[in-house]
This record gives sequence, C-alpha cells and structure tokens, in this order.
Amino acid sequence: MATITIGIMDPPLEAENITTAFRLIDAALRKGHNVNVFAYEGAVGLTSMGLARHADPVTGASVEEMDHPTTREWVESLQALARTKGVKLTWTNCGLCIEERGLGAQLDGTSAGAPKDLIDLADASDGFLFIPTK
Amino acid sequence: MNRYLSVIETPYRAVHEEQCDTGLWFTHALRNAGVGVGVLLRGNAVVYGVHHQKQPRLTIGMKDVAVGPNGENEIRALMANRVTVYIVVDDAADRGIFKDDMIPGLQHLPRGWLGKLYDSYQRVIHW
Repeated sequence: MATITIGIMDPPLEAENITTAFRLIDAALRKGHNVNVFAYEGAVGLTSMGLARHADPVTGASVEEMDHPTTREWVESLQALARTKGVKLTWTNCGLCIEERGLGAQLDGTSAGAPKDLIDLADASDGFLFIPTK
Repeated sequence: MNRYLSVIETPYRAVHEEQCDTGLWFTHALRNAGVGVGVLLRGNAVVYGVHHQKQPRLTIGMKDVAVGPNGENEIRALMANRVTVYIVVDDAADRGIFKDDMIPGLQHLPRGWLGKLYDSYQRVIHW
C-alpha cells in the first residue's frame, strides 16, 4: 500500500483537469492506496456545500433527468469508496483560499490548511502529483 | 441585431461536470433567445464533428454518472435548430478525420477561408 499526494487548483465547472484528478484518485483508492488531496485556489470550491444540481433550460431536461453530479457529491463518493476499501482519503483545502472566496461551508471530512501542509503531505508520500490550472 | 459566430477550439472543458460543452450550450441558449448565431469547429474541437460518437460510462467513487456529455448530439441539436455549423477541414485532416467520418450537414471550410467567414459575422466569441 502506497500513499499518494495530489494537488489541484481548478474550480468546479471550468476544466477537465478535475475529472482527471477524480479519476486518478478513484483508481488509486481502488488499488488500495491512501490518497491525500490538497485543494488550492479555486479548487476549494469543489467541496463547497453551496454547490447545487440544476435543470437544463436549453434541452428542457429536469433536475431528475439530468442527474447532475456536483463535485462535492463526487468527493463524498470518493470518501465512501475509501471507507469501503479500508484506505485513507484526506482532503485539505487552502484555508485562506476558502476565506477569500466566502466558501466557509465545506463538506464534512475535509479540513482547512496552509501551503506548508502540502509539503508535509508530499514529503510523507511515496508519490506526488500537482495539477495546476492554466 | 448583430450575428454572432461561436468559435469552439477547446473541447471537453468540464464536460463531465456540466454534462455538455459550455461554449455549445451558451450558443444554443443564444439561439433559443432569437440571436443569429453560427458555430465554427476548429483546432482540437473538430472532434465534435465526428459522427457515431459513444459516451463511455463514468464512475467516480461510488457514483455512476448517468448522463454523460455527447458532442455529436449537441452539434446535431444545434443544426436541427437551424444553426449553421462549420468545420475547418484542414484541422480535421491533421487529426485523421475526413469527410466520411463527419456528421452530415456540416459546412466544410478550408483554413484559408476563415477570414471571409469571420467577416460575415458582426461579433465573434472564441471559446
């Protein structure tokens, strides 16, 4: 069992990087590895409690028909997968980034930290990947 | 009212979160609001012009994504709503995509004609 730290920066609903990161996290957990995530800048919005599903006014599809996932629900789902697999998924948001965006209401099981926390997590890991925004 | 050309060059931007391409969705919303719009697929976004696309099922954690994005369906829906969709055939050929691979009804455009196309619209939105 290895421990991997992944840093992400992109906010919800803006880039495909987040789907890629989620898939990497998913794959690592399924293989029985522990994963640390450090969310920096816009990525702190991924676990915001303010995210909401919506209908699609262009196609006329309802909320139920869309079954629209939010990133917070995906992170909850990854937390559930980690419990099922008996591995750890830690999720640390940049605290300052949360404050400056007014996103204080965050998903249970996540915590607020500082850049030094990313270094501590990375130093204690077998692998480290940072996916910056562009 | 001015006519708008939506230039789609970056595909797959957050499509799994949005369940659609944000540029195409915005363009379709403009069309539904009565705005005269056209769409140009260029660069990597020419892949949206390929027909018979399939959307593989995606599972993240314990959650299946039931409704995935499908660029072909979005392009066909725009054309059904009387939006002209152009595709830069040179960009497509660079990626191994040729006429037989493309959605019928796309307007094939050589790269050298882009200037004339842009001149035929009053506003250009480059996604």
